[in-house]
Amino acid sequence: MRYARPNTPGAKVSYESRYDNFIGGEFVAPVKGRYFENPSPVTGRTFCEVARSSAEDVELALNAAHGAKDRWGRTPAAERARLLNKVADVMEAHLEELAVSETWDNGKPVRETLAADLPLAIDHFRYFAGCIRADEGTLAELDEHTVSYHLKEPLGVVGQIIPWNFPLLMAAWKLAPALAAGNCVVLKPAEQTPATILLWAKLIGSILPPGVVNIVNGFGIEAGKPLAQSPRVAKVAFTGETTTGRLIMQYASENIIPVTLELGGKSPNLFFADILDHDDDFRQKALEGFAMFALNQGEVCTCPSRALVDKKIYGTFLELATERTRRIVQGDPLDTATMIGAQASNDQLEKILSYIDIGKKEGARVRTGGERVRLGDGLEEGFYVAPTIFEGHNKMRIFQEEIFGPVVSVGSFDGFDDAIAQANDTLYGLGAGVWTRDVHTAFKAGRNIAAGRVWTNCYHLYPAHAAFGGYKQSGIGRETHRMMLNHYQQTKNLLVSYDPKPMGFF
Amino acid sequence: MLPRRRIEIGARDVLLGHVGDAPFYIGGDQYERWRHTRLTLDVVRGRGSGFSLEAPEGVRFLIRSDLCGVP
Repeated sequence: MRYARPNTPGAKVSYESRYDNFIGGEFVAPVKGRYFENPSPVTGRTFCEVARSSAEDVELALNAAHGAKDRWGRTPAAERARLLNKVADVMEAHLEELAVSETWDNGKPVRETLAADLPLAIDHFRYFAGCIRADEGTLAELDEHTVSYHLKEPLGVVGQIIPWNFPLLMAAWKLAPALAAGNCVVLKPAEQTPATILLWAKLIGSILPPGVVNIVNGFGIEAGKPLAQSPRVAKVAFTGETTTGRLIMQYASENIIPVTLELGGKSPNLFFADILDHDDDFRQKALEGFAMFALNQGEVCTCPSRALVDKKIYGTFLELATERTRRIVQGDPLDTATMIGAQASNDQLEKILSYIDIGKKEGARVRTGGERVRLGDGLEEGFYVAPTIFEGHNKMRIFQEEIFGPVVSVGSFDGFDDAIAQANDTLYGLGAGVWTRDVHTAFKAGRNIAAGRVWTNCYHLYPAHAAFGGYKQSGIGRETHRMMLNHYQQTKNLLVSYDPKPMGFF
Repeated sequence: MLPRRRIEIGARDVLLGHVGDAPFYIGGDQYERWRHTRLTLDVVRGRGSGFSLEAPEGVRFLIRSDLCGVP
C-alpha cells in the first residue's frame, strides 16, 4: 500500500503553506517576520515555510512559560497525568496522519513511523503519566522529634532542543518526563524536521494549559543558542552532535544550570561464533540484528555501525549478512513495503557520501552499496543512499566516526578479550549489541562493554522503562525511564522539629 | 564553525591553522583519529546544522578528507 503524498487527493496530511511558532497556546508569527523553507527529503522539494525565530521569539516563549509555571507546578499529579494520557489518546486517534507527516518531513519509511515512532511516542506520554502517579518523596526520622522530608519540586521552565532523526519521538522523550514532573517547556525542534511537531501542537493545543508547552522554530545559532544561554531556563536538555553538546554545556556553565545530553555513538555489534551453530530462527535473528544498521537510514545515535565478527565464522557470516542486506527494499518512503527511505537532508546525504569516499581511500573494501541511489517517479532528487557494507579495521575513520547513514564497517576479532578491546576502542559509549547462544558470554560481554545500553540478542528496541543514555562522550543522563523524572525535579528538604523545647544552645 | 570567541578553547584542542583571520581548531580526540588525513574546508550550497554560523546563509561548510600518511 502506498500513502498519497501530502496535499494531494486522498492524502492523510495536508500542510499549510506557512507555520508560525506555538507560544502561550497560540500560533504566533516570528517577531522579525522571517521564515525558512522546509523541503521533504522524499522529493527534495520544499513543502512549507517555517518561522525563522530569533532571541526575541525565545523571550516571548519564555514569558509564556514563566506565566504558566506556578499553576502547572501546583497542578495535582493526577491531573497532569490525566492530561498527558489525553495527549496520548489524541495522538493515537491521529496516528496515521502524524506517521505520514513524519515520513514526509524526515524521509523515513512509513512502515517505521506507523510501527515504531508513533506508537513509542504515544506510549511515552502514558508511561510518564503512570510514573508521576507513583512518584513520591522520602522521609527519614532523624530522632524521635526530628523528621527530614524530601519533597520533589519541578525545576520551573526548561529548554529542550530536539534532533531531526526521530523528530516527534525525541520530542516525546523529553516532553513527557518534563511535563509529568510539573515543568513548563520551551522546545526548539530541529530546523530539518519542524513540521510534525507543529501538527501535533495544533492537535493537543487545547488540552494543555497555554504556556505549558511552547515551540520556537529556527536555526541553532539564531534560536537554539539564545534558548540554551538564557538565564530564564532552569535546565537544558539536548540531543544531537557531540560538538554542539559541548557548546550547550558551556552555555549552561554561564548560568550554573544542569544539562542532560544525548550525543553521538559508534556502536559495536558483536557476533560470536556460536550464532551459526544451528540453522534456525536465532541465526536469522542475528542476521537481522546485523542489518539493523539500515534502520532509519542509519540515522540513529545507536546505529550498530561497527560489526565485529568472530574470525572463526567471519567469511560465512559476512556472506549471509551481505545477502540479507541486499534484500533490504529501498523505495518510496510512503510505500508500506519500503524498508529504507531517504536521508533526512541533502547535507546529510553529502556527509555520508564523503565518508564513503574516505572509507575507500583508507583501503576499506565495499562489499555492497557505496553509492547514492536515484529513484524514479518524482523521487529523482530525493536523498537516497544504498545500504553499504565496508570491510576494514578498527583504526579506520569509518570505524571511529559517527557517519549517521546506512553504512556498517565490519571487522573481525580473535577471542573474547580482543572482541571487548575493539568494542571499547571508541570515544563513544551509547549502545552496543551482543549476539551469542552462550549465556556466560552474553553476560560477561554485556558487563565489559563500556556503553549505557547493551542489547543482548536483540537490537534497536526502545521501550519505555528501559533506561537509555551514554557512557563516555555519548552524554549525560538517562531517558525513557522514570529515573528521568529526577533530571526534571529538585529536592526540597524540610527539616522539621516536633520538639517544643528549646535546644538550650544560646 | 562558530563566531570567534564563542567557544571556550580547551587545553586539548589543537590549532590546525587559520582560515583568513579565523583560527581553525579541532578537538584533541578527533585530531588523533584524523591526523593521517589532509582536510579541505569547502563551502557548498546547502544548510549548515547544529549551532554552526552559516546555517541561515544558504551555504554550509564541508570538510573533505584525503590520505596523507599511514594510520
